[in-house]
Amino acid sequence: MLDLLFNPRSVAVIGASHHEGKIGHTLLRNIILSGYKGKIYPVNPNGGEILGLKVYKSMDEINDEIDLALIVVPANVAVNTVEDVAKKSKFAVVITSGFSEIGNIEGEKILIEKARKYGMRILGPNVFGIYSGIAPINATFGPSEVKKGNIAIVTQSGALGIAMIGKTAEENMGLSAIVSLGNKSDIDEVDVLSYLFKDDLTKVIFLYIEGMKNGREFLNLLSKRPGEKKIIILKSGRSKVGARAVASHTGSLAGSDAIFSAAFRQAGVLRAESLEDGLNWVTTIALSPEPVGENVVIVTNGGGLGVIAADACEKYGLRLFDDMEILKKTFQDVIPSFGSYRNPVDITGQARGEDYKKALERAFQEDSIHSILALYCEAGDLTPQEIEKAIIETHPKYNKPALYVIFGGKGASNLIKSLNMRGIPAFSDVEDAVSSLYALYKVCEKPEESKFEEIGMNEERIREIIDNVIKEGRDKLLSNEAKEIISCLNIDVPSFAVAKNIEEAIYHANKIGYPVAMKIISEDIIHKTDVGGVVLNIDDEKEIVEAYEAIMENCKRNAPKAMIRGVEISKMVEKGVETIVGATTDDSFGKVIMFGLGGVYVEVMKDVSFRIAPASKNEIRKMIKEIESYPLLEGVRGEKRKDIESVVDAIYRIGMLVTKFDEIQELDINPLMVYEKGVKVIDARISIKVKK
Amino acid sequence: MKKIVVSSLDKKSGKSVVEIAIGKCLNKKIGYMKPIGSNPVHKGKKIIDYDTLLFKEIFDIDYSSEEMCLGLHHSKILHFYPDAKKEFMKRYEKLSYGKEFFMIEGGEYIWDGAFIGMDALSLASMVDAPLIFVLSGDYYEILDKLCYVEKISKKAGIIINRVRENVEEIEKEVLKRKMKFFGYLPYIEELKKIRVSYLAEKIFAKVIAGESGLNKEIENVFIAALSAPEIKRHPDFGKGKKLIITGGDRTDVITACLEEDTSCILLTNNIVPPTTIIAKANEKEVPLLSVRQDTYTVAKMIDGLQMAILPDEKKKIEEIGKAGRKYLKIDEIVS
Repeated sequence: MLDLLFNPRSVAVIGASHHEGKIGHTLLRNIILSGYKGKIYPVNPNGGEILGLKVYKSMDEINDEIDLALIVVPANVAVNTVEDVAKKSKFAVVITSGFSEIGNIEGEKILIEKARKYGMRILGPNVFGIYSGIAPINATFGPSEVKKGNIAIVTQSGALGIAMIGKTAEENMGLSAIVSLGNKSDIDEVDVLSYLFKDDLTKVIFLYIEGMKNGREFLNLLSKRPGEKKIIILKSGRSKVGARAVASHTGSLAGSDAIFSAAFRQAGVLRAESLEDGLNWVTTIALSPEPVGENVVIVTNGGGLGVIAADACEKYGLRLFDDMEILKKTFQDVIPSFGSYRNPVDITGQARGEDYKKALERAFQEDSIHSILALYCEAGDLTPQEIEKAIIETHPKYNKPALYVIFGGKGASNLIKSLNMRGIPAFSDVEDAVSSLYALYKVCEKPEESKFEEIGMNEERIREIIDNVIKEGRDKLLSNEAKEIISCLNIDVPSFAVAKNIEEAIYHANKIGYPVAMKIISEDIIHKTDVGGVVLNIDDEKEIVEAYEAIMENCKRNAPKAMIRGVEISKMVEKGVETIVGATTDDSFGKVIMFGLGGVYVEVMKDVSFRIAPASKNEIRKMIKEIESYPLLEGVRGEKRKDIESVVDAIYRIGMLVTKFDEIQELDINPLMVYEKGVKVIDARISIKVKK
Repeated sequence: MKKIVVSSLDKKSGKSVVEIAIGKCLNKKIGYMKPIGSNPVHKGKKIIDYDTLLFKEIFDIDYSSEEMCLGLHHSKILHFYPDAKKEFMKRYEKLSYGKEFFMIEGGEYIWDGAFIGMDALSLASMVDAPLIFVLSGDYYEILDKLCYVEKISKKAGIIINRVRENVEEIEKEVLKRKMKFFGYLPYIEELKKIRVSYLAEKIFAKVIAGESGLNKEIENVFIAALSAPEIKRHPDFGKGKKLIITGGDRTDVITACLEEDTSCILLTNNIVPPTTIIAKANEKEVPLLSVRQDTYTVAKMIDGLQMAILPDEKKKIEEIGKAGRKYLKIDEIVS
């Protein structure tokens, strides 16, 4: 529980400085200036007085319990003094840098161990401090002035965080908290968010992160957050998949950033693509009521700007209200005859302040209009001052989201500033405004409840197969073993059998029924087609013999060191839509499932989407719709719609499998053939984690 | 009808080239068989021996590839022909009918087919044909092989292939052992060229651009593991008709290669370059081939490839014929 971190009754500053400009001095000054009402104990071996406060020479001299200690001494000193601090304090914010961020992992480890000995929690090291509106306390060495409000900023970057303090002050954004996470040696984003979800002051949270160790814990927390708390995340570091060797298509496609995006989407958290977007969005969300419906109306005095806004709304999927009867009734008598009451409502460049105000009032008053984009072009006789008057006399009266775009010269810039200072969201760019409105709608979407139903799974047989593979010292299942596991999930796997020679191949082919496919079985040959290890559409015994010869010769030449276990004979299936269903294991989020356009070109086309397993069927339906080739499943060029529900079911079952059997590291079903009715597994690959 | 069995101790010695040379020197109706195939090429759902296709084309043989070869893998041969020797003789009788000169080619290695009586020594015995060994390598390798051949078949004839020096000394050694020396074929530069389309098929590469250039010839192979500026400075980079092997993400290298005399670029690790590169390759008609394997693996595959003569490579066949007329003792071979 971090209550005393955010609302301490007493604060000690270890490393408080007598010298202005030093961090130890700035910290103290900011605490005082923030109006903190608790007890403040500066600590410095030289003693004396700083900013009117008595300075203690050591922690021992303080005859009081400390809730929060701010450590701002050099790294080696911090390691030596942390034990004394931990004996008295419940929390420490270690401002000091020079730990794991520069490779001093040992020093950081000792710091934490000493703190833990006395149950003290640490924020940092390598942070700029913490601001909390509830105390209030500004325990940072950033700008002193922080406006109190309902936005919380949690940042992994110190420099960025300090800059954001300045920016929020400039933009008149009110903050409930700013937390610098630093090296996250103890307290991390999961801890901080847990607190902020309960903090009454916080309405919206902006989280900036670069990486995350406990992705799954983070996801679980997000999924349980109170509905009224909104989160925007900015995650940087769009790096490719790490150095881990991967054998599956899924593994090779699952870059860490794609997984983060999937996780955020699954948790119903909006991810900003830029800092600018992130800050715009949180401001808009903080200042705007929740829209009660989807209908957006654009009011503008410039037709061109209105069209740009309409295009942007389409791009973001915002619904432009188009009931002509209501629009006519609402706006006809407040716009000139040469204007337009269609959406965008064009009051024309000849409109005056009063006209603008009337149109705005009507938009606010009409119940069918749920949100407003009001645009102003600095042109003609309508001055920024008139617009300002119109807006400030109208906007505060209503409880409906309204965003303003003010486009023009210096007058327009000043107007934007003035409106923002009054807590009215105003922008110079249409795209910024529309994307902010989109963000507002997105974060207000009610998350669907995740329902998980039991599936019939032959767990015993699956366990048997996996144990057998481990016993043989392998980490890759043979394709027949993988297919058997898939069939234990009651997913349709066409008949197949293993043959060790030509005679067995003929026997099984006759039993299964022609046409059949033949594939090499070897744990050393992952991609069979690449070595000529697959022959399809075999129609009779003679062709079985020829195919066997072809496969054996190809593998002998192209994979001479491969251990050949035989061939798999399987029933040929009709052509359908080739998809891929996969699973992989992410270091942070654990098991991840994938769906996409399949076949041999999957790694070329990369048309895939991800979710963290287990995922509900509703979530999987959304996941499937994300791929570009989704229309192929819906039916194109006269083709009928495919059985998407069966695909959903198959992915769901795979998700449950990999959740249940943690040893499964990677899994590919490629292709999963999709038909108008049903799906079939054509090929499967599974690799497991073998404990050394 | 004159007949010979042509064999070697190891693979890639050039049996087919020698046989083509002999055939081209004779103005006769040529017949050919290769009981144990060794150079697979796909024909629908099965594989056939490439050499049988080639000889059929060059010498206008009116039997199919499948008839000229029992199979490439013992499992199939034994399945269809439990008595492989009987089947071989049956086919030999059929294929040799009406022919004036008949060549039978042994397997890749001297022992190939021994289990089913299809090794070169057994074949020669069955049809009562002289055995000719094709030897290649450096001077001492050839001498070693010669001594081994002497141990297993003293009556065999010897043809040296791909020789660059010491021919007279080798001939002396052959004659010293009272074996027959039937001449030699020099190193034929033209034969080292390989067509892009053939390479693509052999290594199961996907053609992702430059399809119109698939008929280009490759004469040199260059593995581009350096930075683009360093590559440009490398002496081998200046050679023409290059096959470049590099990762698909090396856009700088690919771009540099597309500006040079490059026949083909082989992209490894299944990484596909950006569309701009693909467009440029199409424009320059330089095939981009993509494989999943890493550079080392695919370089090894290419190194292990049996270089083929394609039926429409007239120049290669012509060069072989010319060399045969000049350096082989044809009269002694056919006598």
